[in-house]
Amino acid sequence: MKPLVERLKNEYAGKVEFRVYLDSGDPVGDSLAQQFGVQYVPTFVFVDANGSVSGSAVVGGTDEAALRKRLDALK
Amino acid sequence: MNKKAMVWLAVAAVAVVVLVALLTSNQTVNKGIDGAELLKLQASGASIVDVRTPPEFETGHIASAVNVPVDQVQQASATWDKNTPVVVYCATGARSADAAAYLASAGFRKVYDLTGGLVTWTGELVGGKAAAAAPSGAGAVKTAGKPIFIEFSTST
Repeated sequence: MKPLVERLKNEYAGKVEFRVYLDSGDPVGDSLAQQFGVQYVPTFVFVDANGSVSGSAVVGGTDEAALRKRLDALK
Repeated sequence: MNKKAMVWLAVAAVAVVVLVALLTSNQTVNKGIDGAELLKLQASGASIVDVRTPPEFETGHIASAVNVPVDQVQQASATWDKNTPVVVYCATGARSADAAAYLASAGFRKVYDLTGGLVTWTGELVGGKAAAAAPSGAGAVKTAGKPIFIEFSTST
């Protein structure tokens, strides 16, 4: 997923903030993972500009079209 | 070349072909596969083994997969049929590569490893609990006025 996420990050620069947390003991990532109740599977969480979690988390690999759809729906 | 020599040459050629066929039929397969190949193997009756930890497995796994953490593969596989194809996977492919190498060395004839692990998997996962646990409501996450895409991933 890494090349795809990198590409989307560049494409959505200025519109959507991208945060990637690896299971390497990052306390911020661990705290958020605990908050969301997710594991480093990978899991994707989408958050609106007002801080609301948008829709359900995506667990596991996914495809570009699905990610774009979710990103485009963010406000 | 006389007739006798030609006969011996033909016999030798047949012997070589038979020997190669025998060696090939007993050869162990330990091969990296993609998601499409996994689905085909799954449909043909291969065992699907998720070698991640139980908490990882519970967040979502490939349908019909059984959870055998990588450190338990040696013990658990002692009772498995070595002629049944087995597919192993983990989060990124590191742990499953170790499991696949062990299974091949233990005599399993057809071992397949999902290259790149679930990170590359675009199919459905079942049994995921993450969505239900996600908080909701404004302010659940601090933002800088922009939407956020958050990826939690693993390096193993």
